[in-house]
Amino acid sequence: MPTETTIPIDADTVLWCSGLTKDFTDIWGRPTVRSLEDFSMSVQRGEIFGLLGPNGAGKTTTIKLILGLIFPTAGQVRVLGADPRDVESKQRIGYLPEESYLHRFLNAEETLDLYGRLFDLPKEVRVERSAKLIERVGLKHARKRPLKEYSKGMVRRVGLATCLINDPELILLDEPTSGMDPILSREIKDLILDLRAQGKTVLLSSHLLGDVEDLCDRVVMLYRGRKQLEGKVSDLLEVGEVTEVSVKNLSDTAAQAIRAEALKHGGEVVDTHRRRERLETLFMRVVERERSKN
Amino acid sequence: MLTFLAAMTPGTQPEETWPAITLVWVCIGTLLAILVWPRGRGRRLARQIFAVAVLAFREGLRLKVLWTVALMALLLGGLAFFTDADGTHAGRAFVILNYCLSSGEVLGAMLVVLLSALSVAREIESRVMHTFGTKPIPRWGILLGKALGFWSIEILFILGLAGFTALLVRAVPMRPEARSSGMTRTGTWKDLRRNALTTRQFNVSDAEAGATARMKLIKAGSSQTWFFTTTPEMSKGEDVSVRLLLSSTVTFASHIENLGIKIGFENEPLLIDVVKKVPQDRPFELYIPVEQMNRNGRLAVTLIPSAKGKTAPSVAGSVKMGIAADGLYANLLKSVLLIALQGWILAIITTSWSGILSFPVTVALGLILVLGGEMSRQVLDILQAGTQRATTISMDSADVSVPKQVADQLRFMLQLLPDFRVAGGPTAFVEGEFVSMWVLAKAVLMMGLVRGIGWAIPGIVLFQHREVGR
Repeated sequence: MPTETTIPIDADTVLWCSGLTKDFTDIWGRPTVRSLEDFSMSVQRGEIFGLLGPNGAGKTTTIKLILGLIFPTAGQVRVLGADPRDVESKQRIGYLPEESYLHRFLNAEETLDLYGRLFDLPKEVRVERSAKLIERVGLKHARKRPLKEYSKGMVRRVGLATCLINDPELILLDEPTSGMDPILSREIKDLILDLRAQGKTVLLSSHLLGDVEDLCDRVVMLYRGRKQLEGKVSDLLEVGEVTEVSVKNLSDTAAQAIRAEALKHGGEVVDTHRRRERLETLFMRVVERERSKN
Repeated sequence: MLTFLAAMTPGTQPEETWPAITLVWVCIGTLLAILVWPRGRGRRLARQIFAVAVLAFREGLRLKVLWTVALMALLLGGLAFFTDADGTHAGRAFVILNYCLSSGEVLGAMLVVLLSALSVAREIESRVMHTFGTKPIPRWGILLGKALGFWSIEILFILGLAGFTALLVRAVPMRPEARSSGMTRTGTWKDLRRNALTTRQFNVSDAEAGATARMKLIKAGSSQTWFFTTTPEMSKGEDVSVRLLLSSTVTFASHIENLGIKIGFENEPLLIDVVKKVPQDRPFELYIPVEQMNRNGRLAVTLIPSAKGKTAPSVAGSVKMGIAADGLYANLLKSVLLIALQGWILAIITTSWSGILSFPVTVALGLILVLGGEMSRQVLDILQAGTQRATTISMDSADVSVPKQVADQLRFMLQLLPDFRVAGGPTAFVEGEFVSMWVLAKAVLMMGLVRGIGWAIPGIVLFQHREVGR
């Protein structure tokens, strides 16, 4: 039964669900597992919204309910103002499943052409957009090879391209960087940020905390099918009582003096250290350096 | 409503051509719906369905089952070519046509069932449907597109097989004829084409119908004459056949000895004047060249059973005049249409049900559809053969069409499953049965549109409400 009836719906609400519950049943219709329980959320236009949770939390179930691949036991969903089973609204949605389930006998160009036809794109638009997307995902050299000869990462790139072939308003990405190498992960993250810059709305489902932290404006966290928390990433991660100060070119003596001053003002020095860069940043820097050499 | 529609179509009689008229208007209505659907959604949907059909077509071409089936069909045809049958070229041609078309019918049906069942079920199990099913095409559009794609493969297969069959039949006269028929020559291609491979319409003028449709008893030594009104246009540029079906009081004899046959126009020299041994209880034909038939006149066919011997048998005979209707290629085309019709029924039914059933269950359903129709045909053929035998020796002139009516009723009752044999089946022409375009239109309408789509609708509706994301 829906409990959160105060979820606002306005013109900028791209995705809305209220009291969403999903029970999977056996062949006799008896419920076997409750995958989602009384889940409500709304996603605003132009934001990157994160669905966070461990494996089995109900993230993929939520996405499938949004797309109409499965149907809710209770609750309501509205996607771009329409029911998930509405065919017309799918014209403006892009979806990247957690595994790219594509026709393996087609090559990248043919796959994009097929999905472009399903979106009824004119031929010129299909051809131009396919070429741009293939180049964007770095598959120009392999566009004529059948997908069965692709690596997992390459298939994923094709999946990403098909997700964007219709220039969608709302993009649903289910574990987009799962199983990807750091380079591809970075590229996908940059692409997602680029999509937001274009004014598109992204719903991102992931159990990789770093990705969610890097990308999302707001997140909701699921655990065992129930919502645990929701809010802006910046607000959720802020540790209110700790202030971080970053200073360059500071000698050890000056650092000691700053510690003493903090103690004098009643502060408790938790930690002082030289800043560490992220491993991803280091990795990318090394790769770029090697690339520039070649 | 149908009368009104028929009245809108000039030059037709509703009671004769309603299936064809209805089919035409259904096609026009569908086209209009596609064109005038608001905001062009009809045309968009048609393009999307076409995209799915192309995908299914390409997918089917890759599957080994297609090439295995094609190879089997070629092998069967090749084997049929090298059989001697009854030693005549006509017999060899009939064996080739029967083997090739029958195998094409069964193999084509198997092909469609396997392709249709495999595709949708596999896409749901492999989760390709997760990507496919989130696109702006209704689920029934996906099913329809796939059915069209796989059906196209079957059409390609049977067209190829029909072409191969035509080549084999055409090559029959290249082999020496082991034995020629005493009644009709089929040694050369010209004779084979005219005497064996051309289907004829045995229409008679209304004035003669009462006289020629029934068997007439002829006592030994006496004679009986049948008359046919001829016009220059009736021959349609082909030799005209006179078909005789005779039976005698010597019930178990295979032939009637010394039967006199005289054929000619009134008050003119006879065109045919022979005394010969003729087959009993099997129709046989004599041919009159087209140049002798292209005239207004009254053709007389006289039969004179021999009076030789103490117990010369009486003969019962019927005579019909046959006008060339379809040649080999036209008959093959109609066979292709009938096999394609069956393929469409199977494609749309198995594709729609494969959306909710597993692959093995869908294949089983397809087999039942194929074999169920075949079984009902076998039963009806046996029943019809029995009643026809009774008719040939019956002197009851009240109504010789009763056995056919009984068979038709039985056929209707036993057609519990889709059976396209309302038009006689793809090998009907081998037995000399002419299939008119109106009968084909009726088959397309009743079997293809009504029965095929009717059986598929529950599967389509259930697939609309199926969770494909589990």
